[in-house]
This record gives sequence, structure tokens and C-alpha cells, in this order.
Amino acid sequence: MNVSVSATPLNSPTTQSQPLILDSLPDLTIEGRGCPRRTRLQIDLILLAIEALDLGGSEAILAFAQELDLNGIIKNRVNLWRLRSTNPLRRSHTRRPLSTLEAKALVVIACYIARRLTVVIRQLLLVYQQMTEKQIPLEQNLRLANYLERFKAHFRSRMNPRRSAVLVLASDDKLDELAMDLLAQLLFCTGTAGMQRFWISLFDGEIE
Amino acid sequence: MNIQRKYSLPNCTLLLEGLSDMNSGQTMDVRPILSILVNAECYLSGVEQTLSGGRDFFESLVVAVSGYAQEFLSKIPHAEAHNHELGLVDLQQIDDNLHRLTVYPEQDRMTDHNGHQIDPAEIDLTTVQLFDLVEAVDQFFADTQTLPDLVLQLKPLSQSDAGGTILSKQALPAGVGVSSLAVAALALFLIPPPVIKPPTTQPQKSSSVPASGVSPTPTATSSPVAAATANPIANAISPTSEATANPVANATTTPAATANPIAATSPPTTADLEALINTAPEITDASKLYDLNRQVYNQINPAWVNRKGLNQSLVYRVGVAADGAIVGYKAVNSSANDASGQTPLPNLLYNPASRDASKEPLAQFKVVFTPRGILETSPWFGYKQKPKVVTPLISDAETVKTLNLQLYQQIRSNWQGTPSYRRDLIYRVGVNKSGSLADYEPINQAAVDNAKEVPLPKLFQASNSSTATPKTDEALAQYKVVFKPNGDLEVTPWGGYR
Repeated sequence: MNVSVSATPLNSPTTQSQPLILDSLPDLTIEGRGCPRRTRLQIDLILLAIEALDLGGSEAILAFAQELDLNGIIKNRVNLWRLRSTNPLRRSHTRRPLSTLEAKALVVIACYIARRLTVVIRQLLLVYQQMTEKQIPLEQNLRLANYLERFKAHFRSRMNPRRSAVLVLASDDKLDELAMDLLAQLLFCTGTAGMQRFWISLFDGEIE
Repeated sequence: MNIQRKYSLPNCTLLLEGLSDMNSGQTMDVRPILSILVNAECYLSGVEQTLSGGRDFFESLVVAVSGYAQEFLSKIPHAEAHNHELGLVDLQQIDDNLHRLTVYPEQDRMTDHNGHQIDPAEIDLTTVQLFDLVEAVDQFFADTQTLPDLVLQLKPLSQSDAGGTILSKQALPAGVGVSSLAVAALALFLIPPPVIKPPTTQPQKSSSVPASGVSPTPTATSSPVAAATANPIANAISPTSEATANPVANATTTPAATANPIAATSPPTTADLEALINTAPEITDASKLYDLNRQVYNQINPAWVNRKGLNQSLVYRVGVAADGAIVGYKAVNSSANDASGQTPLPNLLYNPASRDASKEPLAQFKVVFTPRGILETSPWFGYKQKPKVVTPLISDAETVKTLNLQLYQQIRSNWQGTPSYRRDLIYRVGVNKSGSLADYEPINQAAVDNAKEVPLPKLFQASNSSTATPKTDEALAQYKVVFKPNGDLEVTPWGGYR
């Protein structure tokens, strides 16, 4: 999990040094154009799911940035908030682009946190599956209900309700569906090639 | 040297057996390279069937699984997960939480030693099971000592790959628009020579004429006069336009010929779905649609007798009146157009001569006949809200109890044979006060797939033979009926006892 500090190479002439860990993800964006809309949206949503899953989620994002030596890219809370505000559905959406480096850093952190939460994610998905099979309302499981409630609260407080994409998700059912879908995506992030899979999937249909 | 490799996850175990290439000179390794695959086996928890095969099977499996994992993450279809032409493995999402893994037999093993055709293996995986399968495959990919020539290749779909479906969807209306304009232009060009008789065409007809820009064929139906003259032209051009699928425009080739004599001679009270949709109000109430959807399913399913011999899914757009009568249908794909004789639709078509369907509210459904013999119906435009069951309920505790027992005995005495399914089949069953089966609905996917094995369709048909459509205003007692794989039967009131 630790990345050696020797990642700061000598041959970094002008720009900041790129931590080695980001090299496992290929560059998919066109130089200078930033990440596509769906990429920015999905990254923010997967982080939102993490926050709903883990009470200290947003702290953990910053802590992992430190631990993975990515604090050159994600410097502090405000900086993180700015990166996430590139999600076009946010109330605080800014037109600032999200660079490949920044997107990679967020994806790496999300996948590391997901890996740490593997047990919880698996359990919740199993509970969900059993409850839907037996037609028991999801609220009856405390942990699942907590996750869904927190996700809905986070989503509603941060997304711009005037956006049509948010309007479609206005109902509790739709948001529950989204929350469960993100939880399943998080499970896939925990796998051996999960980080690559998730990263590549963010660009499906977005490249030339 | 025989080598075994095992990738083991809670729900999935991948077992590879093979040989090492002796020429590589690395035979002294502790863990020699497995370079020639002899046999691959895949065990999934809760599934008795073992999936196994040689290199072809294994390659298909890892490619399809890997592609489907990407599709699952991005929600954009990856062709390699559904490449039945080249591969032996196919993955489809059938539910939020269920993924169907289909493994087709290898070319030289299509039949068993008795000459019987081997059916493809179908396994429904939950999302967690799917993940374990993906993870086993990824662990194999990460292992450089096993089949090093197979490497994980991940690459995002390009705009054109992903947009292929989207683009063609956008191109279709444009193409139809252009071709219908051509048809309209030709028709209008040819119409003037006959005597123009404005008084004979009814004034209200003109309302459908402006629509000709959007709808592919209304020129053929806008007035009886135009229909008669425009038909030959429509026929000549139809291969490119949607007109082929239209029973009115193309009287000679459409199998729905039963409805055509009326269609050709009388004004549009007919099976011409396009025309009906333009004039009739649309039913959009979700509860009503839900109810109609079941009525459509319950009408078509028992009437579909010969389920063999379809090579491709047949997809139809079906128009249904508020009482559940099928008043029109239209083939959506070309195989559906050719093979509608194999479906019960022509026989189920409500005889339109006896009613004026053009003013009745209509609901449209998508009806799919799959090659596996499974019928699927759903509202064409989906549900706008969450549907509710609206039929009045028998809630009197005594009656509910007696009917419960009656229903149990009715099903028990009609249920024979050993179940071939491995999951519970759950149905909702509605019973009227005389104890006959008035309504049933599969609740889980297994119940949809295995409806043929339970006596519900037969019982439903027996109690509804006199009336094609069940009465919707009759009070029903609702039960949950569970068929267990071990042969147990459970019948309980839907909402529990009060």
C-alpha cells in the first residue's frame, strides 16, 4: 500500500513530479482538454458513495492523499472540493477543467478506500440481494438503511435540483437504485485489476 | 509435466490444467509456466453444473467476462460480452442484481452421444457472484506463469464503438423521414391525375395529413382514395421504408393478412397500429399499464404453443385497448415481420370490424418472443410512476382462509413432475370469490423463466376460457405462491393474515 518516496525522480524538469502509482493508469484524455463530463460526474459520485458508506469518508480521502504521496495534487480540503465541483451536477459546479492527473489521483484514492471497505461493501450487497429476493423493504436492515439514507442526504444537499439529470433522480427509489449501483461499482474497484477497470470504464465512449 | 492452477474466490473457483512447454528450458522452476491449456473448469457457488472446456471455452470466458465487467461499470454495451458468433460465452444483465451467463456448447460437441442437441448452459449470477468470477479471471490475468500469451487488454470504447447504437438510433428517424417524404412526394405526384374529389374525404381526415412528415406511412391511410392509388408505390419503395411492416400498406406480403381484407376496404378502424396511435388517446396511467401488461402476457403466453424453431428474438409493438383486447401489432425487427405466423398474435387480434377502435384509448406494449421459448412483455414507453395493484381486494379473513386452502389444493393436484429449477419460483396469484384463478404474475426472474413447469398458466386458462380477458373490476383475494425446488408448495395471503 505504501509507495516508496523514491518516486520523486530526478528528471522532472518543469512540471511537478508524477507519483509512480499514477503510472498504472493510462493517459486517455487529449492533452490540455481535461476530462469528459461523464468522467467528472462518475468520480464525484463514487466518492459520494464512499462518504455515505464510511462516516469519516471525506477525511479518509485527504488522509489517503497524504499516505499515497498524492498531496502534491490534492493539497487540502478546499482543493479537493474544487476538484469535485467539476462534477456538472453540483450546486457549486465550476467550469474549471479536471486534469488527467487530478482525475487519476481521485480514482486511485477511491479504489484504495474501497479496498479497505471490501468487507462492508460485500456484506451490504449480499444483504441487499437477500432482501430483494425475499421482498423485504430495505429499511429493515439498519446498515443498509443507513447507507441509503446518508447517500440520499449527501446527494440532495450537494446536487443542483434544477439540472434535468438530477430531476430524474428526485424520487427515493431512483436514488436508492443509484446508491446500490455505485456500491456494486465500488465492489468492482476492490479487485486485482479493479483500479484499471474503473479508470478505463470512465472513458467508455468518450475517446475518438 | 501436468500443471494445475487454481484461482479461488468465495463464490467462484477457476481450475486450469495444462502442460508446460518443455522446450522453453525453464522446467526446473518451482512454478513452471503453464503454456498449453488442456482443460479449464469453472465452479460457481450454488450451481451444480460445472462449466468446463478447452482453450476455446476458456478464451471465450475470459474475454466475455472481462468485457462484461467493463459494461457493468460504464453501462455502455461491450460487444465482446455478447459475441455469440465468435465466442461460446455470453453475459446479459437481466435484472438490477442478476446477470445471466450463457455458455454454448463447442462446435464439435453440439450433440451428445445419443445425437441429442445439447442446450446451452444458463446460469444466473448475482452481482457479488459476478464480481468473484471477474476477480478469478483477473487473478488469472495477473499470474504471469499461466498462459502468458493471454493478457488483460483494457481499453475504453471509442465514440464510434459506443455511439454505434446511439448514432443508428438517431439516423433511423432521419432516414425514415426522408424515405417517407419520398413516398409522400411520389404519392402526391401521382394523385392529381385521378379526379380530385374533396367532398368525399371527410374533413376530420385532414388532421392526420400534416403528420405525414413524422409518421412513415400515414399517406397510405389518410383517405381511402389515396390508399388505393398510393399502395403500388408504397409497395415498390417499401423495402427501404418502414412501410413493409405495415399491414395496410403492404397487403400481399404481411402475414397478418387476416386483418387485411377489412383494412383494404373500410376506413381505418383497423389493425393499422400507426394510424390508431395517431388518433387514439394514449393510456399512460402506470397502474392501468401494469394491469394491461399482465393481461397481454396472460393472453399471449398460453396461446403460444410451438415455441421451437425461432432463431432470433421476434419483437413486436402491440396496441392494446383499455379492456385488454389486442387491436393492432407491428413487427419491430425484420425476423418478426417474416415469422409472425409462428406467433399467436394474428389469432389473438381482436376483430376490429365490430368496434370502432380509433377513438378508444390505447396502450402500447413491447412483446418479445425469444428463441429460448420465453415471452417478455413490457410497456413500450415504460412506467411513468410506480404501478400499484388496483383491483378491489377480498379481505374478509374467513374467505381468505378458505380460498387459501382451495387454491393450495387446486395447485397441488395439478402440479406433477420433478422441478428442474434451483431457485424458488414466486408468483402473485389472484383468486375470485368462487375460487377460480383470475390473475397471476411471476414475481422473480426464476418464476418468469420456468412458468412452463408450474400449473398456473393451465389453471388460468381453464378458468378464463370463456372470456379472453379477465374482468378487472371483480374483487380478488391475492396470494403469494412459492414453488420450491424440492417440491414444496407454499400459499400465503399476499399481505399476510390480518
